[in-house]
Amino acid sequence: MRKEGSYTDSIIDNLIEELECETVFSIGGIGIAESVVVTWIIMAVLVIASIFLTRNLKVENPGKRQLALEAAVGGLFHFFDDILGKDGRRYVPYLMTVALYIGVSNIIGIFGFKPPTKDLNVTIALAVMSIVLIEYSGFHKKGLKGFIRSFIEPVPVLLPINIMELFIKPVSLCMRLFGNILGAFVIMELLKAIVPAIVPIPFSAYFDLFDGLIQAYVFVFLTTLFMSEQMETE
Amino acid sequence: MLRIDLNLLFTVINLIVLFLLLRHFLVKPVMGIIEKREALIQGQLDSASQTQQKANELKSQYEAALAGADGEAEQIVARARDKAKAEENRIIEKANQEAGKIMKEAKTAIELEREQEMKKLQNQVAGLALSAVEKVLSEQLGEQQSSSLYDQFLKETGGTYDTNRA
Repeated sequence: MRKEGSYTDSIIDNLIEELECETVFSIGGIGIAESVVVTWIIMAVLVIASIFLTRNLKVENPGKRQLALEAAVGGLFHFFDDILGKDGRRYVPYLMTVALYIGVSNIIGIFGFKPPTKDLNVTIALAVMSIVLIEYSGFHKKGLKGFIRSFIEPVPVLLPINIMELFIKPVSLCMRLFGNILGAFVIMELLKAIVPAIVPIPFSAYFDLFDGLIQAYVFVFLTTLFMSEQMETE
Repeated sequence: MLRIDLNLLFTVINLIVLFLLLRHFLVKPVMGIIEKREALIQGQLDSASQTQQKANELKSQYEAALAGADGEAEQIVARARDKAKAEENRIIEKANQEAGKIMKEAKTAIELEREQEMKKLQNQVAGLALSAVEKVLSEQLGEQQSSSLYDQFLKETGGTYDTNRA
C-alpha cells in the first residue's frame, strides 16, 4: 500500500515536472522559456527545409520534389485564398506560416520535445496576433468609419456583443489550442509513465498527430473565417 | 504550470520573424514558380486557340473554294451535255434529211426508169401490132387461117412480152 502510494506520487511528481514550463536559461534576469527555445528550433527546421526544398525550382519539367512542394504550398495557399478572396490575399502568407508553425509544434511531441503550444504564452501570443490581424483586415478594407460602423451592425443593439467578441474570439482560439494540446500531453505522459512500451503508439498517433493537426487546422481556419467575416462589406 | 510573462512577447517576435523568413524562403519562390508556369500555360493556350482560329478560317476558305469548284465542274459538265445533245440532234436531223433526199432521188429514178420502160414497151407493142398488120395484109390469109393467125399473134406478143420482162 505504501509502496503503491509512493509509485503514484512519483508519477504525479514526474507529470508535474513535465507540465512545468521550464526556464532554459536567462539573460539579464529574463527567463527564456522552453517553449521559446523549441520555437527557435522549429523556426530553424522550417527555414532550412524551405531553403533546401526551394532550390532549383523549374518552370518546366519540375521534379517529384518540386511537384510535392508545389502541391503542398499551393494547396495551403489556395485553401486560405478561396476563403479570403482577392482582398485577403496579402494575409495568406502569414496564415500559412501560423498553420505550419502550429502543425509542427503540435506534432513535435513525437520527437521528444515539449510542444510549444502547451505553453499558454505561445497560444496567447498566437491568439493576440490573430485578433489583431482580424481587426486590421476589417480596418484596412473598410477604412476607419466603416470599421467603427461594423460594431453596430447589423443592429446597434449588438454593440456590446460585438465589443465582447473582440475578447471572446482570441480567448476561445487560445484556450482551445492550449487545452487540447495540454490534455493530449497529459494523457500521453500518464500513458508513458504507466505503460511505456507499444501501447502509447496508437494513442500517440491520435493525440500527437491527428489531434495536433486538427487543432492547427481549426486555429487557422477560424482565424481565416473571422477575417473574411470582418472584411465582408454589405 | 501556467505562467504568463515576457515569453509571450518573445513568441510574438518569433512568429513575426518566422513569418518574414517563410514568406521570403517558401511562399514567394513556390508561388512565383506556380504563377510563372500558369502564365506560360496560359500563353500556350492562347497561341493554340489563335492557331486553331486561323486554321478554321483557312478551312472555311478552302471549303468555299472547293464548293465553287464543284459548281463550276457541274456547270462545265452540264454545258458539255447540252452541247452534245445539240450535236446529236443536229446529226440525226442531218441524217434524216439525207435519207429523205436519197429516198426521194431513188423514187424519182425508179419512176423515170419505169416511164422509160413503159415507153419502150409501148413502142414494141406498137411495132408488133404493125408487123402483125403487115403480115395479115401481105399474106392475104384465108378465113380458116385467121384463127390460127390470131393465135400466132398472141403467142408472139406474149413471147416478146415475157422475154422483155425477164
